[in-house]
Amino acid sequence: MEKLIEDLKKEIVNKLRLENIQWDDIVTDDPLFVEGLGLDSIDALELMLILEKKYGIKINSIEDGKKVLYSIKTIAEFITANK
Amino acid sequence: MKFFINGVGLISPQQNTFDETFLNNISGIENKYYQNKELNYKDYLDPLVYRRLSRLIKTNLVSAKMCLKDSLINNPDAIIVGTGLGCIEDTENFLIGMLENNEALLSPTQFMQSTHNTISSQIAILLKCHGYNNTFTHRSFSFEHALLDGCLLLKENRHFNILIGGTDEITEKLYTIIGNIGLTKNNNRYKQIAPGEGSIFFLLSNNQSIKSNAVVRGISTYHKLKGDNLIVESFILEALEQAKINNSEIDLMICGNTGTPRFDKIYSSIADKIFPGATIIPYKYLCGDYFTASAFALALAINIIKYQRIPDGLGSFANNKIINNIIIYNHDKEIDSSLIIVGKC
Amino acid sequence: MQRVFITGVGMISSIGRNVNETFSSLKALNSGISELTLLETIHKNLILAAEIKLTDEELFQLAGIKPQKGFTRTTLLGIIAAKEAVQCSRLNDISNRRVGLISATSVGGMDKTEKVYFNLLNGKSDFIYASTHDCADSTIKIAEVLKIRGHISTTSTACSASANSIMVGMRMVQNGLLDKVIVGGTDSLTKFTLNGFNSLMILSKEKCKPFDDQRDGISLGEGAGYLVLESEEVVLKEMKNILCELKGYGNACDAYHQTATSPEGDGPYLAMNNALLSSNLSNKDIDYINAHGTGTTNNDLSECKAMERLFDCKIPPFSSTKGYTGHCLGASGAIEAVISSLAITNKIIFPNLNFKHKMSEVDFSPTLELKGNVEIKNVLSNSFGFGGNNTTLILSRC
Repeated sequence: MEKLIEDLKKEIVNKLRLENIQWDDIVTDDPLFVEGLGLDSIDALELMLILEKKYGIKINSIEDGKKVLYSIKTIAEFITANK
Repeated sequence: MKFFINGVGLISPQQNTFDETFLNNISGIENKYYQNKELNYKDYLDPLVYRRLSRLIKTNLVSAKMCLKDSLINNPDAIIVGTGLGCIEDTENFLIGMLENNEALLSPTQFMQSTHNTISSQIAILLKCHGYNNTFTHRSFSFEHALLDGCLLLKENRHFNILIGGTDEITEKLYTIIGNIGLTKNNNRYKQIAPGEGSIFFLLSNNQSIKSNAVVRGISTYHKLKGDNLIVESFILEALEQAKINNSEIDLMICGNTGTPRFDKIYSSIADKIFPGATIIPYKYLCGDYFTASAFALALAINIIKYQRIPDGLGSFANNKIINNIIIYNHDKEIDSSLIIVGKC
Repeated sequence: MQRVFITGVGMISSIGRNVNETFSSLKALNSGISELTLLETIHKNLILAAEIKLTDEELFQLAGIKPQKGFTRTTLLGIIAAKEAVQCSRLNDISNRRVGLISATSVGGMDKTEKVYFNLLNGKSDFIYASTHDCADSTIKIAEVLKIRGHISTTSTACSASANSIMVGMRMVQNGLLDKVIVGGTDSLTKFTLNGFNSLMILSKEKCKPFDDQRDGISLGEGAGYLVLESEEVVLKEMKNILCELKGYGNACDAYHQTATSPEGDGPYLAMNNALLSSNLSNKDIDYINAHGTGTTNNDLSECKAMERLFDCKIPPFSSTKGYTGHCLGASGAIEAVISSLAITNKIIFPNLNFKHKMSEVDFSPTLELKGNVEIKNVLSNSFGFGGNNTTLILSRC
């Protein structure tokens, strides 16, 4: 799980081009959207794309996406549960 | 028609500083095509804001900001952009992704940014500008029509400061396709100026200010239908008449020569017939050939009028002669002809 | 400023090859949204779209052009609708330099580009389609076929593109640059846009349900709509038959987000308000709103919020006709302007299809039944594009 969390943080910084943020600055439990990192709806879609491309897991709706993508922790748990 | 240009923002294959040293040192083509002088976007844009934006959009945001800074205007009343091909890089990436991955695993960012109006709307988002916003996409008329639309808005008296841009980009794949259809130097059909790119903005206004550089006195475009005879002479004379300017009042012709003798000869022919006293300066060898290159020509014209000198190496001009009026003339294979007439304030 | 009148209309979409067929479908509540049968896509059996059930060969025939390379589907649709508009208006001097064409598109020639892209890149074949990709190609081909020699131009502002081409044309006439102008837009279905909207997860799984509480996205469509605008002076001089008046317009930018409208609908509100101001009308003068109503959760709510603000909660009858035609992207503004003109001249309000549940956030619902014999003096037609390019047109009875 630790490795997965680290990978996810690096992936987010890289793919979403968060240039002024270091991957290990991201707090695992913090919300990713609105507060915390302050990502937006397009970032959500791009994250869902990462999940599909890298982990082979498809999220079918934005509603489902909102729950899964709440924080790095929820994403990691979702991936682990759906492997 | 008399509308003031109160600011310019320029990013092009030449130096980005738009002052009295502009074009004193001309940059030649470094690659197969002319590319914008790179800049450090961090100096102009919040990294969080620009992180997902493509090169073209980032460049235009910076150019627009430069223009507003130059004009001492914080928020324009309207934003109008002319672009011939729009956001090519995002279009290519999305299209190739779609074709290679069998319509799966596609990036919404690339699609979202592939629409032509992304440039004008991202500028509006950055500035929080709720005013009039439009995008013209008509080949080598794209910039002229954006400028004309701006002039109409000013004439209608509902807006006073309008941000007008002309932009296009070149990518490796686009260059390859242009080459494949026989339009670059590598192919012996044409000896042409290589493709280029630019992001250039102007602040057009009803009001003269301390920042006023020049005035726009006329804009004209003419599309020749297949089988029709070219009537460029009467087109130009008509445009001069509408601008209420005599052909003898034109001091300089800035022309869109592309290095193809068959198409370039009309520039010297028109110069001889209509503007015999005028100095001629070609411009595309400075910025490359692209649909909105006339925006670069307008920037050049404004710089010449503002500083009352032609940059070293561009051409000679009689000392102490005042440069009052400049005509920018471009045509695309004699099918699409366009004119912009600029004058001293 | 001169008044500007609509003297001709033309349209092709999934609900009709021309305006008469369109009108019949509208009255019969026949939607054009169905399964994809022509567009080759992996999503064929997964989504519905308002596809025009005519092959390119059949479109050539309708357009009166010999089948040949170099004509995109977008161009063919545009020629068909523009020709109809010109015939309808009985323009007898179309080649006069004071007659122009302002067209719009969002996909341009992508319907062909996406088929031949790798051939272009690899230098193999299909080079003619390198020059049909851009937005101006369809405009120029329409001008060539109709022999239009005046000012021609192209606007491209996503879903508001043809509302803007109509507005630009109107202003050119008002400012005396043209006497007559053919305005409108055209867009064909492409894998590019289908996949694009799919990647944004805003394609409906069924037929789109504008303003419905359970709406889940758009149904893409294809089509073209054109109108002929003429100045008051010309109309009087030539004693032209007028369909209705193009009374005013409003163009404003939402300036919020590239793909979402601000929650309170700032851009839409400003566009509608500007349209009223430019028409010298008050909100009480609007008898019907042809809404943008795409069926996305975001647009429909923002549009309702904007209408609430503008009409002080006394919203006039409104409907989205995208349940019939699908969302024809760049062509939608012109298509809906044509439909708005039909509403005025026939005194009919066309209902909002596929609606079952009122939105929980507002107290009003769209018109759900066909309403005939209605005095419609002023129609407000909305087109709100990606990036917040919002344009509203007002058409009025004469």
